[in-house]
Amino acid sequence: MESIFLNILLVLVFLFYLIAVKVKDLLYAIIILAAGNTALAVIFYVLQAPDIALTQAAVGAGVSTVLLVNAVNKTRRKE
Amino acid sequence: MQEKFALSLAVIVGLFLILALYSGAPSFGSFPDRPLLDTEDNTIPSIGFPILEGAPEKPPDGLGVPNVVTGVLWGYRAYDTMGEATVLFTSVVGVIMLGSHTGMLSLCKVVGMTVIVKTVASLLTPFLFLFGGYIVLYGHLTPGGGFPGGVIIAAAMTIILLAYGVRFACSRIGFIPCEMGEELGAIMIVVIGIAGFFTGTYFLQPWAFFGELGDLLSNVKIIILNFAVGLKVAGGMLLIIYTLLTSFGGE
Repeated sequence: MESIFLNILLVLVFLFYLIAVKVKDLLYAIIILAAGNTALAVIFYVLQAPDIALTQAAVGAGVSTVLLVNAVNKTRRKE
Repeated sequence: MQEKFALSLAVIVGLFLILALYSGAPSFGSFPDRPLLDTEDNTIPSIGFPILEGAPEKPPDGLGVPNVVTGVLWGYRAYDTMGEATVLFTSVVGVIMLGSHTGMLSLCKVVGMTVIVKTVASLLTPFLFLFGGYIVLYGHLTPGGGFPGGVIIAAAMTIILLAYGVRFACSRIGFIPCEMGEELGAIMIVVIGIAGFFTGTYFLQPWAFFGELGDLLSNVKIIILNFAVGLKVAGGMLLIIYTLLTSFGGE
């Protein structure tokens, strides 16, 4: 059961990061990247590393999103 | 052509990673239950990876820490933490040097979001501050520690910043308290290390044990170290965000 859950999460992380690379609108790319980081945090939690999961969720979905949105705001939105 | 090559390379690497995960590790159903805090016999069952067969089953006696990784990382290898703090300090100094913030704050427009966002932010952020402080102060007993707690506090302040605008956020927690927190955390780490000399151990080695495992004050040195790192990380992250938002013109 946990194995199926983890497989789905791994595929989900792969798809999220692939979409984040391929999409042309950089703001959408950042949001999808945050979603992928959240899924990665869940994977860390399933792998019994709650310490890393907390850090990944806080940094990946919180702070890096703000910094990247700020960077897009200062430059161009379209790729 | 190049895109197809990159896509196939990514698929192959992903399949390889998934296969490597399942060839080397036992299946997930066979993992033993690993309680985070087992106060009865003070042991942690090994997690079953072959690479960790020689790992100790329980933290050293009297350290006051339930997790062996936490005990080693924050007790005996606090040099790592000091190195990470140095890296963060250097990056914050670099960002501030690139975008000097003197006088730029008054150029920013007062931009806030709608009243819905403001209400939700004002209701949400006290609990986020509380949660960050809990993660910092209980870092030696539960998962977490100085770095995630500090980042959560910085993220809570970022929510206020996004909802109410930069000038409101800077009027609550400005540049000067952030810099003071950053530098006070850096000084506290070194002072804790030097205080080890006066208690009979080496630099940044564990000292100051009060109480049994499971109490809040089971290892005061790790608590102070977590507090210092949390202060430093929160101040540093807020400084980076403030500087990037205000220095390069507008909001």
